[in-house]
Amino acid sequence: MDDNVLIKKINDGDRSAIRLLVENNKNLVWHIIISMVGRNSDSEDLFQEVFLQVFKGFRRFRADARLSTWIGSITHHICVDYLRKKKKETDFQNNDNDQKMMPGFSPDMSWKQTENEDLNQVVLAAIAKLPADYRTVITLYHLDERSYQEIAQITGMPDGTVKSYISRGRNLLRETLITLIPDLAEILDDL
Amino acid sequence: MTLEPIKNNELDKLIRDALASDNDLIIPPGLPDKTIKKLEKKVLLRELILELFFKVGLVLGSLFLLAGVFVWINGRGVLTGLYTHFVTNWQIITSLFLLVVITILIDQVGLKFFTAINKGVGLKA
Repeated sequence: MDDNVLIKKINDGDRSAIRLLVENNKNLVWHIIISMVGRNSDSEDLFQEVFLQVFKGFRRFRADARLSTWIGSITHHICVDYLRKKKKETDFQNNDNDQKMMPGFSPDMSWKQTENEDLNQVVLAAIAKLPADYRTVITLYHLDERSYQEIAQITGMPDGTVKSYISRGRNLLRETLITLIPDLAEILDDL
Repeated sequence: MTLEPIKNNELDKLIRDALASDNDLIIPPGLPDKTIKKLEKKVLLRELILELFFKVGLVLGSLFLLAGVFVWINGRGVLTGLYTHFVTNWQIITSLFLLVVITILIDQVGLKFFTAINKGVGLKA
């Protein structure tokens, strides 16, 4: 359904359009919240706050961007405000890094012996070590498959900064992964 | 299960698989429905308030029209009479006006809103 048609239907009180709006954008909104703020008692409130703000601000929506991108940028703004208020970003990085360390994984292990699940945990731990901005762009790029332009519109960064964050983030990930599992060097060195 | 060798260009896949496996990134069940219900309540409240404004506008418009007719028939003296009457009895008139506004607000917005919420209806499907 076209974005403008969807907005018109919502303004007309169409319940199915409201459901469609939330269903179509719930993952994007949740991913931004988790990558920026982390999973805590406020995450669900932030999720609801985003959609309430979207609902209030439909008049500000300009059709030059996709509705989902606009919703993403509102989510980003709300998370930035939240972090500013709570001054929590550093705490999240510090607290969460250790939690993400996987059970049953030993740095001496060869990556070939590592179970898929364990390897995922290693990569997640490495992602958790990244600065919040890197984590956000990497999540949007890899998980939500957003383009550089869309990520730039969501985060308010220039396109070039997004590209450089993704590139640097990947390099940082590679280095962290090689530190954790030295064997990975032989397959990740050429990247 | 051991992994197949990873190709040099598969860091993307490695990252994607890891992110997809992260339970924190999976939206809690029930959260979207809770959000949808909140939005529906907002829409319903907005509809009811708009309806109320429309009805109030209709009544006030009719009263002004009626006053216009009286002025047209009897001249401007009617307005002066009404003004004097209002100034003399402003407390009673204001109380009555507030009573009417509160009653209409409760009846047209409050009761309708809670009835619709309890029944889970009230919006266009």
